[in-house]
Formats: sequence, C-alpha cells, structure tokens
Amino acid sequence: MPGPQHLNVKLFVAPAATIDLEQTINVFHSWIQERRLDDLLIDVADYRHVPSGPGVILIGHNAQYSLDLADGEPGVLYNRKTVVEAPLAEQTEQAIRTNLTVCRLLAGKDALGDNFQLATDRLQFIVNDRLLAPNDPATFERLKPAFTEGLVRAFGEQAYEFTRSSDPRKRLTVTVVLPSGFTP
Amino acid sequence: MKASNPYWREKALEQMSPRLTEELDKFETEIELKKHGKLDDRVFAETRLRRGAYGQRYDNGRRHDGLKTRQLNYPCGPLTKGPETVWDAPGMLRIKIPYGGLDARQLEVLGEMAEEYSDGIAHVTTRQCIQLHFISLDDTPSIMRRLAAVGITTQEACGNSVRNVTACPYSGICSEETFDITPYAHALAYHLLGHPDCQNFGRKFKPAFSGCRDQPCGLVKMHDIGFIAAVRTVDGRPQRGFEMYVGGGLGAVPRQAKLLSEFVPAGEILPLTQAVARVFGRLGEKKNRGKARIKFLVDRLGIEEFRRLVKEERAVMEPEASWTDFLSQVEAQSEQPLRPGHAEIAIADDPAFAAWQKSNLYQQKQDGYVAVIISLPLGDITADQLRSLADIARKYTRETVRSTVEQNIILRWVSKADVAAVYQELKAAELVIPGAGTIVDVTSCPGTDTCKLGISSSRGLAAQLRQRLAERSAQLDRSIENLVIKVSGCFNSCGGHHVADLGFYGVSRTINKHSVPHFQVILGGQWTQNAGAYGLPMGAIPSKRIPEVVDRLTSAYLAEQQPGESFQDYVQRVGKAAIKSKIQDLSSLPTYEENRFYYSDWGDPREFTKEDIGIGECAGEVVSAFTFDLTSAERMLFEAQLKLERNEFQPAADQAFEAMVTATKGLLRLKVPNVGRDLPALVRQFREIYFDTELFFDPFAKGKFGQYFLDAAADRDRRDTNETAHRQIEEASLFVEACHSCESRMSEQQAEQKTAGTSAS
Repeated sequence: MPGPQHLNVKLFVAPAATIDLEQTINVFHSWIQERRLDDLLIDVADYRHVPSGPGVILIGHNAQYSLDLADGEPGVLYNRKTVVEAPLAEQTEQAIRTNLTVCRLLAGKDALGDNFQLATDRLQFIVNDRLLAPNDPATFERLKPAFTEGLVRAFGEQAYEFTRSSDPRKRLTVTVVLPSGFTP
Repeated sequence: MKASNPYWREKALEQMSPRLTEELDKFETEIELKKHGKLDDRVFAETRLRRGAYGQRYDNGRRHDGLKTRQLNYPCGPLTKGPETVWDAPGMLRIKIPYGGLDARQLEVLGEMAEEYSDGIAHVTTRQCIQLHFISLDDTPSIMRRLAAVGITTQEACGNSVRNVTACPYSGICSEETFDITPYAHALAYHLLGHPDCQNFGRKFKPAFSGCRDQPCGLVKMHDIGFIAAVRTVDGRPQRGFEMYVGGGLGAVPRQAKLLSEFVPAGEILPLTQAVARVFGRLGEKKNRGKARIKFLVDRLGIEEFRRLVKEERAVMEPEASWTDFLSQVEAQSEQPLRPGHAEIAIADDPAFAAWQKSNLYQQKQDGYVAVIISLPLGDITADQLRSLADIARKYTRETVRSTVEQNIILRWVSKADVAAVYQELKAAELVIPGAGTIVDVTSCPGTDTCKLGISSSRGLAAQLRQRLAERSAQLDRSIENLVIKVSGCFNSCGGHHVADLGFYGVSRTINKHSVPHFQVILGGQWTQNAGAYGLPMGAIPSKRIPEVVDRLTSAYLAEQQPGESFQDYVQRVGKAAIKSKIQDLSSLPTYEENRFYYSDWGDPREFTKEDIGIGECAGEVVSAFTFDLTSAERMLFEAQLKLERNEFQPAADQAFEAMVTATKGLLRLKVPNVGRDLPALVRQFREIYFDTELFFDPFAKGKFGQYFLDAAADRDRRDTNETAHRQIEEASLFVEACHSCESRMSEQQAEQKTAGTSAS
C-alpha cells in the first residue's frame, strides 16, 4: 500500500481574534470571482448553524479551505481532496505553505483584516485516510520523522513537540507545539 | 479521489454480503467502462443514480459567480458521468436508512465517510436517509463498500426505483400505535431491493409505514404507497394487517393517496406491493417524466380500475418465500432496553435542562423509559458528534437509534434514571438543542446549497428562521410553539412545504430587470393524520422578507384565534383574502439601487440569478428495461474477458452465459409483461417468441446466433477449458449483438407500421 496522500493541516486562530463567519462567506465568494487561489474554486458551504462544525468552507477541486470550528477551536483548515503523489515530508511542507497562503489572504484588508490573527505556537495535522494511516502509536511513530522534516522545511529547526489524539476511531490527528513559533 | 480506494474492496470483503459484493463489483466495472467510452451517458447516469450517486449543483461545469457565468474547468476534460454532468464535479451520495434505523457502529462509519470523503457533515434528509455532499464519483465504490460492511446500502436510493422505506420513528414505543410496524417496513425494504419487478419504473416509488391513523409520523398519505397498521378479528383472534394506500405524492402537483384496500393481512403486503409495482412498471408513463409518478397512473385509471388490475396481477404471481418468511421473526425483532426503567426523571435546577426536557423527551408507552430527541439544525451532524452519539447509544441503550423525517435523530429506550446523565453527555457533544418538534425545528431540503433544481436558498431561510425563533422561544405562546414550518428550494416539495402550517417554496420574480429570490407562501397544510391535507398558496414574497411573514402571521393567529382553534382551521375561517392582506405589502421592495440586500439570497452574497439551475436528476434517466439489460449483458461480457485473462476459465464461461441470459431477459421484456428468473422458462419463451417465429433471425446469419444461446442453455454441465471459455465469450458477444439488431429491426418495423397507419388514415 502507498503511504498517506491526503494530509490536512489546521492553523489555529489566536484566542484574541474575532472571526465574523458571515464576512468569511463574502470573502470566499469574492475569491472565487477573483480566482485568488491556485486551485479550481467551486463553491462555498455554510455550516455556521452546526456547533463545533466545519464553519464556512471554500470548496475547491484539490482541497477544501475552511474556517473550521471543530473541537471548539477555530482555525483555518486545509483539507486535501485529491491525491498528492509526493513523499509525506513534501506533502507536509506543501500543505503548510498552502494554508499559510490562505491565512495571509484572510488577513488582507479586503478580507477579514486585523480581526484575523493566527496562534503561531501550534498547529494540527490530520491524515485523512484511515486505511493508509490508522490512528495508532505505530503509524504515528512511522510518520513523525516526515512531519518533522516538513515542519523544518516550512519553519526551520525547532524542538517540535507532537501529541497524538488517543481515540483510535478518529483519523490520525497530531497536534504540534512550536516552541519558537512561526511567522504567518 | 482517495489513494486507498483500490484497497478497500479486500478490507471490506469479509463483512459484506455476497450480493452486495457482486453489486459493487458491477458498479466499479461500469465506472471503468464509462471512462473508456463504452457506456452511454444516459445509461450510466441511471445506473449510478440507482446506486445512490446523485448529481449536485454546478456539475454541468458552469457557475454564476455573482458577476457572470463562468466555466469550471475540471481536469477530467470532456469525460462525463451523465448528460451535461462533468465527471470531476462534486456530487452527492444518498444513503438509504430503512425506517431510519441505525446502530452505533453505523453511526461511526457514517461519520468516517463524512470526514474522509465529504465535507465533515452527514445530513439527515426529510425521508430519513443520510446524504453526503461534495463527493468524488471515483470514491463512491469505496464508500459503498465501507457502508455495506456495516449493513448499509445506497442501492436504489435515487433513480427510477423503490426509494427508502420510511416509517414512524416511534414505532414500538408509541402509546397510540396499533402495533409496531418496524419488522414489516424492514421486510418490505429488503424484499423490494433490486427486485426484478421494480426495475422498469418511469419514476421513483416511495413507500411509507405508520403505526396509527392520527399522528403525522408516517406521513402515509403523501407517499406513492403507504401502510397504516390495522387489526381485525378473524375466528375470534386478532389478525395483523394494514390499510393500504396508493398514489399519494407532493411535488408540483400534490395528491392525497387513495385507499387501495381497507385491510391487507400482514403476510400479503409484500406480494400486493409487488403487484402494484408490476402494474406501475407496465402501465406507468415512461416518456413524460412530469406525468410518470404512480399518482398520475391512479388518476388516469381511477382507483377502482387500478385496484382491479392489481388484483389481476396478484392472482398470476408465482409465490416467493420472502413474502411470509419474516413473519416468524416479528416478535424476535422487538427492541429491548439495556438498563432498568425508572419511575421519575430527577429534577435538576438547570433552566437549560428544563427547556430541553420539555421539548426533547418523548414518553414511551413502556413505563420507565423515554425517547430522547436530538435536534439537528437543518439535519446536519458532524463526525465527532456521530461518534459521541454512538458512545451514548452503547452506554445507555441497545443502540436503538432512528433518524426522523424532521431531520433529527432519536435515541430510544433511555431509562428515566439516566436522562440527566444522557443530557450531560449529549451536552458535551453539543447535541442538546431544545425545541424539537416546535416551530423552531424548521426543516428544509438542500435547496440552492447543493441541489441542481433549487431556485431559492431554503437552507439559508430555514437557518435564519430557526435562529430568530430560537431567540424568542421562551416567550412564544404554546399555540405558536406547536406550529410546523417547512421550506423547499423549489416547487418539488422535498422540504414538505405542503404539509406544514407555514410552508415556503422557492420561486423567482423579476423586479426592475433584476431577478429577486422569493418564496411562495403555503398556509394551512396538515402535518397530523399522516399528512391529511395540503396547504394552499398565498402568493410570493421576497426571500429576505419571509421572517416578517412568519412574525405577522403568527401574531395574527395569536390575536385572532378562537379557543382551541388550530392554525389550519384559523386560515380556513379567516379566509385567503384576509390572510393575504396581512402580508401583501411585503411583496414590494426598494429598488436595486436603493438597497441591494433584497437582491441576493440568505447566506449567499452573490447577486441572485436563476442561471445556475440545472437539469435535475430526481426523475432519473428514462432508460428502457431492454437497454438496461443489454448494458448489463455487455458489462458481464467485459467481466468474463477479465476472468479469462486471469485464466479463470469456468467463471469466465459462466459469466458469458449469464450475459446471454440477461440479454434474453431484455428481449423478452419487449413482448412479455413479467419476465421471470427460471432458466428453462426463459429458454422456452425465447424459443417460442423469437426463435421459432424467426423474429430473431438475422437476414444473413439466420438463426445462428440464437442457436448459440439455445445450445449453451442445453449444455450447462459442461466443464470449460481455455478454448471453450473463449468460444463461449465470442458466441455470447455475437448473441448480445444479435439481440440489439433484433430490437432495432422490431423498432423499425413498428415505425413503418405507424407511418403506414398514419398515411392510411
């Protein structure tokens, strides 16, 4: 079997930030008009009514980009839909960089502006494929070096700390603490 | 598309039934054939629809972005998955949940599918199904296999087929029911699934069951076929059965179902439904999809004639074991509690708990137990919530969970001793939204969010109404609190607007050269008595002013109602003109230049347009049974060739012969109303109708290709080698081609006769 090829990255919103989800809908629609991302952007899905749900999603062909509310922790989620045929370290770097691009656009004056701020001390990886990457200690240990390499490529050397979600029914979900933080 | 797709077949195989394994292998082969240009668009569309894989808005590759309509240039290029339907465009998968019954593992797997393939949301529909949106068609076989491994099917969830069998979610625990209809709904659902008598409809066919006459839960009278539990006394002993209705339906032309029989014994409901299906398949409209539901056939024939035809059909049907096999298991299927019941629910000093308890608990007929209603806004639930619910269902019940037509989920058999603990655990999962079954609990179809036919944003409006009413819920008078609101994105009534007190369906109006989203206001529908009456239109109001309509009409009802008067009676007493005068001024709008707010829809800032409305797939593709059978035969031939490549000689030859049998069935359907499964009978009919009459004969080869089939049928004990299997495939291919040619010749002859007849007259 191949290695995992659908890596999601969630960059958390800073606790002090105030996110207006209705405005986010408008922003995402304008991105479709202006073709602001390097993806075929299709539509916007509105799940504001779902507590701790997917929030507002910009549906793309290669990925979904959302202001996600899962676990009660708002963040920008990059949810990969099409296959990335590359080593996991490269996928990690690519997912982080794409998500950072989205976050920079969201922080723009024509988007959410100063109300949008990222928490720069941690992020989350979710491997979106239970068969290729089950949520167990062995898979986590196997993939950790690639995650580290991807993080180093994106943010440089740090003593990254990884914590795996323990519920085996969940997808492999790893929260990473960045002691030196990152620059959005 | 998931990288793991090729590996799920093996993984899920052990848990899947052989029938579903075969069914999904077929679908995967059809996907490959379509990708190689070997399947017609319409045939493939109908075949995927019959597997539950539905189209979604913008899948024609075009979308209005608020400025203009733009092409969505998917990487698949010209590859399509149906007429005007781009392969790569995201689609919807409808998952059948017969009578809404779910267990804990099924909840978990539905959550897994939502996360891995969709957008993280499982959506409960107004017919107790689950839908996943933004799905890649390439992923659907894997999803279907993973669902099949836990006993869930998507087969015939869409298309011109028998749709999900819905039923009252309180069956078995309701104090007003005649008896628990669950085992009967279950039996009917699985008896009709893939049944040969249900493969030749011109439109969909929706069944429903209710345990009683008066409550709304089963909504029998708005269904194509419906059953209301009844008991009669025979020789001093009670006998279970059903009042059987036929020909109901909503949509643009709603009809109340007609009584087909006052009492059908329980052991007779499966064959009688099958007889109805045969009559519908044979006489129902096939070309004009707007007239193809069974309600039009019942209208056209009249219920007396329809009843006579059904009886006639029933009299000639060959018995099937499954008609009555399930009856011995009825008692064994009744649900049991996990924990002992308790007399009282502990009083908690918590206003939120009190509010939830008031609306979200249902007193079971069994002392000591309640059903907990989990209110889902717009029917949406996350994967995390599904897992939490699975945990709670395991901990407090025997996994007795049902989805409802109000787009909620019910946890049955909760001991009153556990209600407070269940509340706390549901609260941790953010699943304790109060107001279930009240005016706050607005239901809606997907509308313009994802449906190709949606005109206005039904979900946007429903969310808006829900939010506003929830904010005022504590102050709402009880008579208002109990009203029912339902919203549909278009006249097709998937939201059920006809049977609500206040129903709305999406329309468009042009004001000063600008399109404006509107909703037609439908008042006075009856949710009780199994959807006993349909509401009437009061006129279209701009979408953004519908909340004001709700405010005004509920206030007027509160102020003007007579003691004990229902909203339906109030509307009738006051009269349409008076009601209309209360809201008529809301139809006027400021100009576009003055206020653009009204010129876009709820939750969507784009300037409103109708340009995104596509061609719906609700009606399925009208593909003849002959075409379907011949397409299946060709797929079998392809599979036979693959088997031969793998040196599986006997299976390859058997598969090639099956292709011949399937093609024969298709050909026979052109001449015989009900084609059976018995091989000797099929061979005999083929010989009598096509071979001995030389109707099948090719002008050059004469009867050679037909003889291939007759010889193969006479030699079924043969042990095949590479050479004989190879020959069998070649002969089968020629036979299938000859079936096509035969049908073409017959069609040409019919056309010529028609022309000659027209000229003569």
